[in-house]
Amino acid sequence: MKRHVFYYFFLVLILVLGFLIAAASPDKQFQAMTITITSLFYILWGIVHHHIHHDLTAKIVVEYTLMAGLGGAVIFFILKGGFNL
Amino acid sequence: MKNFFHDLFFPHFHNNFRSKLLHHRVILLFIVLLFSGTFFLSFVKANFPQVLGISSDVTTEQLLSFTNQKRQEDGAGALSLNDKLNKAASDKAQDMFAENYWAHNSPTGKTPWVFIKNAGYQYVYAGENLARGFTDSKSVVDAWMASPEHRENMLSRNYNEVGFAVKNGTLLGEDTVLVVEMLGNTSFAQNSIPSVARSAQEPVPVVLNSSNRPLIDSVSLSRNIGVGIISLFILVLSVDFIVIERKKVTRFVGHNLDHVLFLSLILLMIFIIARGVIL
Repeated sequence: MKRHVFYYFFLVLILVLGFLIAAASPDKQFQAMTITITSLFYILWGIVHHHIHHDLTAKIVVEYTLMAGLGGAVIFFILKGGFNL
Repeated sequence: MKNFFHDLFFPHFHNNFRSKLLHHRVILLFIVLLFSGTFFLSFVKANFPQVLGISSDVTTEQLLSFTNQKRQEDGAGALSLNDKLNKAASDKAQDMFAENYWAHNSPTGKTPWVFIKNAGYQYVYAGENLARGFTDSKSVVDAWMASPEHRENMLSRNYNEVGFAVKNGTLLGEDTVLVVEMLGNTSFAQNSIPSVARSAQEPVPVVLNSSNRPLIDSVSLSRNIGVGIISLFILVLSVDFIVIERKKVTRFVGHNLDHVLFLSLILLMIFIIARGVIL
């Protein structure tokens, strides 16, 4: 349980940091880049977390990649479809 | 139909104890649809600008009304619209689009005061506030009021006249609605006596003509769809987690909590991306 708390603390830290960096700039291209990097960290974090708990499978890697892809696709949809960036 | 939705949102024996919406193929389908939707929106914007595009409810009249309301609450005199300041604001907005900059001074060194002087306004005091990406006039004024420097500018007793420009165009690669506010006074202000608004001013046409506005605002549309999709996934992940915890089913899948946290970040980012900015 203690280890879980540590991993979640680390995940929240990555996400909050990503949010704060993106929110600090009005530049949408910079925001998109920050979200992309945060998403890649998220996939990496998922793989490491499951690997340490000895339940990492290819399906889990795909799941984290798809979730990150969904988040990225929504942001792309708004930036390109909405703002024409 | 009932079974279809049950399958989609609740984990049970028939969907392998994982809500169908969280199956890889369904998530992939959403990603493909979002990318297709992006190109569809871009196509409609390019070919049918009267249907889909950047649109906002920001108007000169409302900006003046909300600004004067804030000034009166603060005990300052109302500002009156000035044609020359309107022209200065309009020229500044055009220059920002033409030279593609988001700053008070242009890359070629033009200050706001150059636009005011060129419009023929002989100022003793002058100020400028900028905003972009807002959907209504109240949000613009509220954002300026929330920033100490802009608030000071808006409520300053040194000014008795104002000009606005509301223009849409492409700035720094994004379609946006730009608002320029030019404040001024041609004589030395009497700080203790609030200035009186001159009601005899000619009404100034709103630069963003309503007839040129598209039927649907692309930013609001894409933002609402994005919020809807992310919220749906957060909801289904939460339901999936609760049901599986109750049934004590063992599965080899990713942790729902991880995905909820990540998608919550995306939800927050949508609001950050879609917010207006001031300068």
